[in-house]
Amino acid sequence: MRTWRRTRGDATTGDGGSATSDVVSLTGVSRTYGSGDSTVHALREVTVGMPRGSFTAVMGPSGSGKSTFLQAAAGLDRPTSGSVRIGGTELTGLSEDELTRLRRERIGFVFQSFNLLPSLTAAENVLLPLRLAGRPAGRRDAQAALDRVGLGAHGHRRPAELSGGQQQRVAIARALVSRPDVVFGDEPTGALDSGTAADVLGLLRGIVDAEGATVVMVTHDPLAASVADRVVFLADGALVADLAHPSVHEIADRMVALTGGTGALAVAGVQR
Amino acid sequence: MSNGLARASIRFRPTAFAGAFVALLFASVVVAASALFLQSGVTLSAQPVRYADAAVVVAADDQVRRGEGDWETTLPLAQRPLVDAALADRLADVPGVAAVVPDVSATVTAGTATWSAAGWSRTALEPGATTVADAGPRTGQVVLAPAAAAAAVVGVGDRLELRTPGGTRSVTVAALRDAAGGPDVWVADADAAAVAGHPGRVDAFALRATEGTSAAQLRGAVRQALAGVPGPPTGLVVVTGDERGEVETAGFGASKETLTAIGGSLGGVLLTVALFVVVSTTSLAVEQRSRELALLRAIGATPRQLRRTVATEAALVAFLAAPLGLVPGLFLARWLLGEMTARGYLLPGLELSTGPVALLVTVLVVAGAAVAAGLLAARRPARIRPAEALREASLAGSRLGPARWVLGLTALAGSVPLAIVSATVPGELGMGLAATVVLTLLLAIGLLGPVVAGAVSRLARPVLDRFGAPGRLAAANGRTNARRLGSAITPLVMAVAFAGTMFLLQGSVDRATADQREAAVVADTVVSAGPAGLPVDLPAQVAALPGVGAAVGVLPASVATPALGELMPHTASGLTGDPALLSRALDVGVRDGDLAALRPGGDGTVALDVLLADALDARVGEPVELITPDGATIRPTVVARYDRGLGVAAALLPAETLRPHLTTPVLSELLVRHDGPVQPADLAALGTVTGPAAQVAGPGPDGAPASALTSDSWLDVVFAAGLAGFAAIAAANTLVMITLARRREVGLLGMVGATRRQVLRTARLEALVVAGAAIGLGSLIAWGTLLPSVHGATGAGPYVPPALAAGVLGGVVVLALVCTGVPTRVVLHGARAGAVGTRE
Repeated sequence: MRTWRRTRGDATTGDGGSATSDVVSLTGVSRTYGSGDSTVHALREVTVGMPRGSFTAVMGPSGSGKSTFLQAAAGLDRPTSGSVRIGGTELTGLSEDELTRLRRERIGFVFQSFNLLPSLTAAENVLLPLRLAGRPAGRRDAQAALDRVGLGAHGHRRPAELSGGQQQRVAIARALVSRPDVVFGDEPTGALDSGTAADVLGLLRGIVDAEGATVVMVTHDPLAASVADRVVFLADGALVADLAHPSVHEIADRMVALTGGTGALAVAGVQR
Repeated sequence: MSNGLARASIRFRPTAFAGAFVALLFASVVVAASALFLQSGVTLSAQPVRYADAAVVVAADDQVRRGEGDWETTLPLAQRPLVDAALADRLADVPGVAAVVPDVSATVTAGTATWSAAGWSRTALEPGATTVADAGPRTGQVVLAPAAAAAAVVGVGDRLELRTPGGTRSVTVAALRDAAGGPDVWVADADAAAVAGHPGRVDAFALRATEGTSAAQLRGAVRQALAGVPGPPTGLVVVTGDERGEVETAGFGASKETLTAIGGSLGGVLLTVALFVVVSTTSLAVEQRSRELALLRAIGATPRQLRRTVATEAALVAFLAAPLGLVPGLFLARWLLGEMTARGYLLPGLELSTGPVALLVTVLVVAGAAVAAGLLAARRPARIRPAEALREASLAGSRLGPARWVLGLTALAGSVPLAIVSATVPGELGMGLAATVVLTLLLAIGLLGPVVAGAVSRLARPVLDRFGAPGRLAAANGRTNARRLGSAITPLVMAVAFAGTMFLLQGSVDRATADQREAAVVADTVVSAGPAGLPVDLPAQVAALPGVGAAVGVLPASVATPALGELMPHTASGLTGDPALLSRALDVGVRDGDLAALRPGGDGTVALDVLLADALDARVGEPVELITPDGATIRPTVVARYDRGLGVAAALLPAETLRPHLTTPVLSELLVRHDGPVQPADLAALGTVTGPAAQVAGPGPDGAPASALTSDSWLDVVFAAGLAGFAAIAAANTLVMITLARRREVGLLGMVGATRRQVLRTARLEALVVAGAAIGLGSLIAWGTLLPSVHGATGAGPYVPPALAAGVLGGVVVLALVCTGVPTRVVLHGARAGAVGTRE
């Protein structure tokens, strides 16, 4: 069995309370858009750390800053202030190229939709990060990655020939192929039916439990969030709650409390 | 990068690259045609036929050279100047010369037949001949080719009236002689130069070498012997090999220059336009795939890798498209060459050089353009941060990068001084600059496209709002997708601007020319010469006819003046007869000075068109420096300035002044004014004097001569049509690309309840906005460019031929409607409900 725990450099402790073993740590991260009166505070002074081998769900009502949080944590976007570290590397101050290199070597991504390049086969999609990094990538690497997500027989198919759930599993295989420090998911089950979503969540849970991978997943679905070890809640860009191993109902209640009038939606999500 | 992304995406979805493919294909066609012209001009050589057996040929250079070193400018002359016949003795003394053959050619008419004529010494150049043939004609005699004799129904011993540049001669047919490739008629050597209208001077000397002397040795010896010998103004050339053919072929230099200039300048403009089209098409294609590119960025492609992927795609498409354009390009160049030859722009019998260099260059240039376009187009998606890209991808924003702002505003600002310069430089140079102004303004519109589109949709909104839901939808689409609207408008603006500027410029010039000509010709009868021209002494004979009050012969020529470091040619005419009587036949609209003072003698005199005089800063009473058609510099005194230069000529000189500077001094027309009403007998008498080859046009119902002026603007019209057509193809291509990419949007409209009719109506309204914006902006550009240029060229305001304007405007509307409507139907047909969620 492969191990996903790898040590890169010195994982020094941030000054915001992150533990030494944190793979991802955000310290006082803020992100604003616009200026003057029209300034939007998407993130306000967020400080949080994710240890190795953990599965964290990030929840919050629409507009709470979930996506911004993910993008800042993953180096897709630069915070206005604060510090982001991944595997001990400080992201602030990295050039766009250095950020890109860091992303493809240490981070895996699974998006809600449009995850795969339609022109490439499943196997080619999986190998793409390695090819972009100029690393030797053979048929066997793709086969191993696809086997792990249960799609070993579909490597030659193009995305259009796969179901939504299968596409998402190819995306997970691609996220894992470079053996990243952390896998980020942005509503990875948002576009899937509940049965398929459960499969995908099971897969993510599996790579955390069996292989020691680290997963950070943004979701609005309490059922999806309940698969995680820990659920953090954002509201108006600020971190408002941090629950360890909460039940579906605890999560749903917290969401209802945060969203107020729109809580019915969250409950509907639970009853699905 | 060898990650295979580029190849995979092209193979997977070739339709996404169809737009770029079409643009590159047409770019390849026009670039190939230009390159072939350029290559033909550069490699054009003439095999010597007449001079094939001559070791060395001595003639005048047919290029005027001014300045030195880097500052040297050259002007190719329309005709090669003559050399002094007396040079024969000096050449005969050069060691190694076996024989000196003076060569004289002329075009003469006998009855209605036009014959080529040559001096008898030409026979010494025939294959196998070592000296002139026996039994040559004596003075006053001719030897005819049997075919010519049969056509004229004459035999040996008969008398024949020969109309020559040197006047009408009565000659006796001394013999008939058949010689392959020979002239129709031989005249005595003693008569030859006079028959050709230039007594004492010949076209060239062909030299035979003595046995044991090589052509190169002889050339060296002749050059040495001629050093320091006074020659023609352009100097002498001593040539061997294929260059002998260039001397032999009249008009060779001018044809070479025409081919090179068309290939070079047209190629330059077309390449700019093609680059423009390819860049905008590629940008559009890249924009349509921005989500895909954003995803690549997110999973770890560096900006450099992204740019390289897009550039590689562009190169792959170019290497498929460019070779396909070569064959149509070849046909286009063939057709243009044939038409130009038929219209007298080029020597008959010129062949297109189809060597592989031009074709290879075309493929490389087109591929280079495609790669450059790809790199440019990928700049934005590559630079943008992946998070922004994913956010922005679904909605193409209208924000412009600072580089585009700066470049766009620079282009806009730069067009102002260019327009001013084009207005102040007269004639063709000014019109050439007008094209540059158009290109600069189009560049500005292309760069600022989204901003322009934003303004357009704001303007269109109040109108669109009256058309119900489809109207509001069309307005909203324009507002939120300014980038797309900008892409749609720009190439159509280009088509309107090109068509507008070039056609209207030409229309205005043609109209001004016709108007000025009509006003200038106050003669009641106009005699137009046939291809052989009319002898310069003819007006004197005509003036002696009873009832003729004035007869003015027009000797066509050209003069060159230095302008902006180049030698610019201008039309010029030599006028025969008493200048005091000029005004009875020709009213050139004298502004100041007096045309009656246009007399030869001293340093000579000249009258100048006001626009040319202003450009030269020449005033009445002061001398002005002009370069004559043989490259000599003269400094005649300006005696008058006049307004109707376009209708007559930019410079008028006494015929006697110009005659010695012309290789073929023949009149193109004769303006005759009778005393009192013109009687049929007057016209008959005139016809007898001028001969059957000339056309006599008496007064029409309004008293003015019924002669039509044929416009020489065919080439300009073809270029304008070519440019506008190319731009129209680009516009159609872009509109189709844009509409086909809206599959998802159309599917969504269907799902929320828009009927097929409503979707089509929305598309139609959007097409009309695009067409309206293109017409408005294109006309603005055309008008802004037209006004100064037309003023510079004609001194008058622009003239818009209504039918042409209606045609251009109607064409734009139809193009926009068809290229939006048809693909919308295709999208509606194929992608109704299932479209949402498919292709993005």
